[in-house]
Amino acid sequence: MAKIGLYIELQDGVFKKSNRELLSLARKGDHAVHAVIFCADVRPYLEELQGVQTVIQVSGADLSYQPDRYACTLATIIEEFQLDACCAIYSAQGKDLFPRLAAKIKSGLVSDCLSVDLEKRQALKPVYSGKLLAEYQVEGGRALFTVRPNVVPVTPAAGGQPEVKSASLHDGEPRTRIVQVMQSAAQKVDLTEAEIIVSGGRAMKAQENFCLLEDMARVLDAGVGASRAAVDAGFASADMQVGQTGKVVNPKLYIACGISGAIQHFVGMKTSKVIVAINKDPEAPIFKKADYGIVGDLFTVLPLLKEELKKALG
Amino acid sequence: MLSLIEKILFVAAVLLASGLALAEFMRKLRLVNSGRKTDRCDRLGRRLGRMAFTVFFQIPVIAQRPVSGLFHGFIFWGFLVFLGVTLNHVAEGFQEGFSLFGHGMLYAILLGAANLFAGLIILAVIYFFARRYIVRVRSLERPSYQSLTVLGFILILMVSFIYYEAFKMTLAAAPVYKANFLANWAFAALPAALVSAPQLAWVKFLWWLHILVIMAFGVFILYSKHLHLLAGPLNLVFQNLGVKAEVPLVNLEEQEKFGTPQIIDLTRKDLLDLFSCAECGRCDDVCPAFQSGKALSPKLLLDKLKHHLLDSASTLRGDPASLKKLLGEVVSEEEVWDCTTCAACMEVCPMLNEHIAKIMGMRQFGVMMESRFPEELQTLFRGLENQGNPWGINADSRGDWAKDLQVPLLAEKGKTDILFWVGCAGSYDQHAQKISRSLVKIMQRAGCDFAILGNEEKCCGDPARRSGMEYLFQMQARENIETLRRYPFQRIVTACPHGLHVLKNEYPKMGGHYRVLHHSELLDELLAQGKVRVASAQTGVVTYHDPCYLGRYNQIYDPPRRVLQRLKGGPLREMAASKKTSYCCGAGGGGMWKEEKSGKRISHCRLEQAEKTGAGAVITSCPFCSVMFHDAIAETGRERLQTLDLAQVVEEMLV
Amino acid sequence: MNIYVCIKQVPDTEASILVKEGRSINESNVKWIISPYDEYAIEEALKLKEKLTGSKVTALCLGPERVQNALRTALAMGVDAAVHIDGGAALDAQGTARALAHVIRSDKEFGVTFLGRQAIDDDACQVHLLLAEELAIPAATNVLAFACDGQKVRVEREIGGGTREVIEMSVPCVVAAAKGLNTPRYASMMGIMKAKKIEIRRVALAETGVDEAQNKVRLLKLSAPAEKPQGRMIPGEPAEAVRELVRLLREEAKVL
Repeated sequence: MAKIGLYIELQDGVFKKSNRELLSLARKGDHAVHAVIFCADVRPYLEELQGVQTVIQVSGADLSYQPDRYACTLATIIEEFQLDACCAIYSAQGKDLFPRLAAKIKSGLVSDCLSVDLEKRQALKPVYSGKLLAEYQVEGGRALFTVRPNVVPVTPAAGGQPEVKSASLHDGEPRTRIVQVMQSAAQKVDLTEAEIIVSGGRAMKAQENFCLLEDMARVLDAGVGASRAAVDAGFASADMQVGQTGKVVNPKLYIACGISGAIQHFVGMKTSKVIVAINKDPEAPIFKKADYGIVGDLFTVLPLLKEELKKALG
Repeated sequence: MLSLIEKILFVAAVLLASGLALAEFMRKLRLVNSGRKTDRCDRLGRRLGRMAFTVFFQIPVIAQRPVSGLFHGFIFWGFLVFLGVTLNHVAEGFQEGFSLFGHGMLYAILLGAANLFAGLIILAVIYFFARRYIVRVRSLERPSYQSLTVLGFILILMVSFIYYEAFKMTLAAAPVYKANFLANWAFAALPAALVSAPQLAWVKFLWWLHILVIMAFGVFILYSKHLHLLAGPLNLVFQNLGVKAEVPLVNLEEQEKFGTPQIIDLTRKDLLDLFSCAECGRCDDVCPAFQSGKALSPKLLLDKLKHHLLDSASTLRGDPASLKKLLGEVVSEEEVWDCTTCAACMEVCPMLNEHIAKIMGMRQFGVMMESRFPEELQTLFRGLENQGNPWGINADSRGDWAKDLQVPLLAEKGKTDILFWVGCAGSYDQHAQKISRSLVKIMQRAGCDFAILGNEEKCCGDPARRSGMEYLFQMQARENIETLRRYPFQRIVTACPHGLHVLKNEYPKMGGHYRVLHHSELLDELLAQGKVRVASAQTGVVTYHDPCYLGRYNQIYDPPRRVLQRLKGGPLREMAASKKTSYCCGAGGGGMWKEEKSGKRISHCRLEQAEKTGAGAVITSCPFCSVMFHDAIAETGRERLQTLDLAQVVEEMLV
Repeated sequence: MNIYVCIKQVPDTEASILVKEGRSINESNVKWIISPYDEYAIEEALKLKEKLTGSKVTALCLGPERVQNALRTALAMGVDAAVHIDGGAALDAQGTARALAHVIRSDKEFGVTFLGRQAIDDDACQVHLLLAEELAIPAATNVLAFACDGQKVRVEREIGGGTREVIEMSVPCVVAAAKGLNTPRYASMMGIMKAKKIEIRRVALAETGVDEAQNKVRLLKLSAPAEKPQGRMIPGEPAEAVRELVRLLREEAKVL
């Protein structure tokens, strides 16, 4: 029976949905699961954590995320509880925290795992931008894994109430200082960095109609792009242009709305992981490049899609 | 006629004028010689012959602008006649009544010709004056004081000639010639008081006026744009007899300087171009960049370089290293990158000036020495470097378009008659793929023995070369030549004029010699030989767009038109700008991969021209033109228009 | 300031990647490039050098002989010196970080070290942080804006959902570049020619005291993922199709 640690990530005090995937992963074997939460009061989360053996509540004066402090704290906990393996979500925080932790406890880390065998300490992860899958074995010491969100099937929480133990936040001087946090609401998501992009072509017909895309982008936390034809027609500004002569983007999801898919556009978004095309013309070249296509009128499909996404993403 | 003092004065004036002219001539010669040497002295007989023929018949001058050209011709031919007249004029000054041509028939003919041309030249002066200063045609927007001066000179010369001849008739001994009809007419119109007595003073005055204006004119020519009288013919002698707008092969290993950083890095021929330019503006009339409202004006480009050269005279003597950089400091980057290398400017230039050479020199300098070029081109360069195509799409998928067509790969087939060079657009672009597919189906129907290279083919290098990235061009070219060396084949057929031009005309310099045909030539051949047959069908009115690299660069104007005629479809209605003066689609010279940031989109302009013919379809024979027009149709909502490649039209009508 | 930039040579993003003998890839037809995120790192290093006079940028790359080409490209872009750590293709992230740290540490005055936030081959996203820990200096990941006055570094980094965090830290430190930090320059021919004349310092992996036997993470197997289904048209009434699309995006494509 392995002792498994889970780093439970909170976002502004809210229990992130992907934590359930971590819990489901740990539940799969016969493990003694230790959930580590950095918060003043774990009670609101205990229902989600049913069946976990131990909940370790980390408390301290300033619990806001600070990678050095968090990493040192986790290292101490892993040592103290003799955890064999520890998992986190492959989120912005997980990416920032776990490599530091790995260095501190001198243990191997496999990041962005699609599946993890906690018993054998093996994990499967995509490499070469998903063109191949790699299976890794973590040797010696403890094993660390960060798990890609939305991959592990969620199983319902069951079992007894966990035992709550407490630990205190490492109080060493951090190496970095967060001086400001800028919320996304104020600024549009920048295209080149966007994880999801909703893009419109000339078939959007008018500048006003781009608000359909913007609405959807807000739901998805996405950037809004445009084809050259749309920019040419004055529907979108030049900095929104995706393509050979505009921006080159590589989001994980690219939704092309009313874009025919000329090569000059395709070159700007061809590395997108998943391409969705919505177009009236079933012959549009974009459908040959798309993973999923819907033939239909934009002005019918887009509002429906927005609603559906809203429902799905909560 | 002249007194001794006057004779001495005359000789002094001749010496002064010649001195002034010679000094300026030497100054300009030194300026031209500050350029790099270039070898344009081979085949001298052919060069001189071409020059004499072109100059005498004023061919390019008239071809592009028949009316203005003809009037220009009148002045030119008139000047030739007046050479004789002037010699006689001087002789008469020294000995009254003397004629180099005697007093018989010969002299009468000369007088007749002089009178005729004097009349025509006066008409020409009026015409040019009206055109420049009253109508103000667009290509001559800046009123030029130089032109006004010269028009004034010419008018004075003609009028003084006529009245000199007329007043001579008041002198007792002067014979009267019928051929001297303008003078006779002027004489008849003189007031009776003047005719009644010999008017030696008038004769002398007009003699002096005429000869002094000739001298002033001679000097003025050297100081003004009218130097084209002298530099133009010279420029024609040193014209490019080789490949059109050829980009000289850069020695990447040994050269330390790429392109033309400064004015002294241009060749002497390039600098002679600057003095040959008559600022007629024919280039601006046909330049797609200028006409679509962009920064580039080919005329102004040469003008800027000329003024920079003139201003640099002292720096050239002192510290040439401190000369301005051409790119950015003399000519703006925008101008340099606006050019589509369509070569229309060079086609219409009466002086055969080579505008593209200047553009390419500055591009090469910007790209290879300073890494200064439109940002968008990085995608192009990286794509070429990493995957051998401008879009950087996986090189292993180059042959995928042909997978369901049973097109043999040359690697599997071993040898072939026709090697179908598909090109990047034909391989990757979904519109252009249709052209490749059509051509394959036609060749299959005709029973042609053909194969493709598939993934072994790389970009021909045209986009790299025209963007000034000679390094990548040579890299692609070398790889392709290496690949082609491995296979036996008779000829290369390509649907891409850019590939055609580069493989046919530019690879030889790198050691690749092939027989290269454009698919319009092959289609023409197959139809003529009856290897494929087509049904005639009413397709409605069509128009044909000449791709620059097919037409102007390779003079292939007729085969595609013959193919269209053989199809007996709808009538072919030509656009106003067709064949030699065809208007670019905007894709050439790297235009396909960069953004047109100012003015109207060139492709949209061309589409408007096509629309004016009333045609329902624009037929072209270049995948890049095709792609540009496809986009332009979508962008401007002209869905009524259709654009098709020649191969697609033929394939549709196959029986 | 002595600026460092650690780069990795990876197959071009468009290259077809085929598995060879279970644990490696077929390199025969692969065009190698500098990992794109590392190019942002190089560009930022060069910008910093241009800002702080008297600075010098050294590029480090670990791998077999072929990575010298990546270093040549970096030199052509304007990097002043290059170090090739010869070998170690099979090192894990920690080994790589230790080898890099060994070279950087040998310079007593090392300043800012730039890396890409991840290499696009193994996509581990770890080396920059492991390196910082190894050197016991501060680090910022996923950096979108960078400023430095020579003593202090101020960066903006993306922390998900479009939210940005502004972080300050002192030099020396490690900065991991994200896409959008800058537009990397294109090496000119002049740069390429100059780069040819610079000698690349070679450090044998053994000199760094790191070897593959110390790996904490071992690659067991590489495999091709299940063939991505051909583009799929989703039929049905709009409302139905949209519902199905969202389901597929969540359950099959797993991008939502």
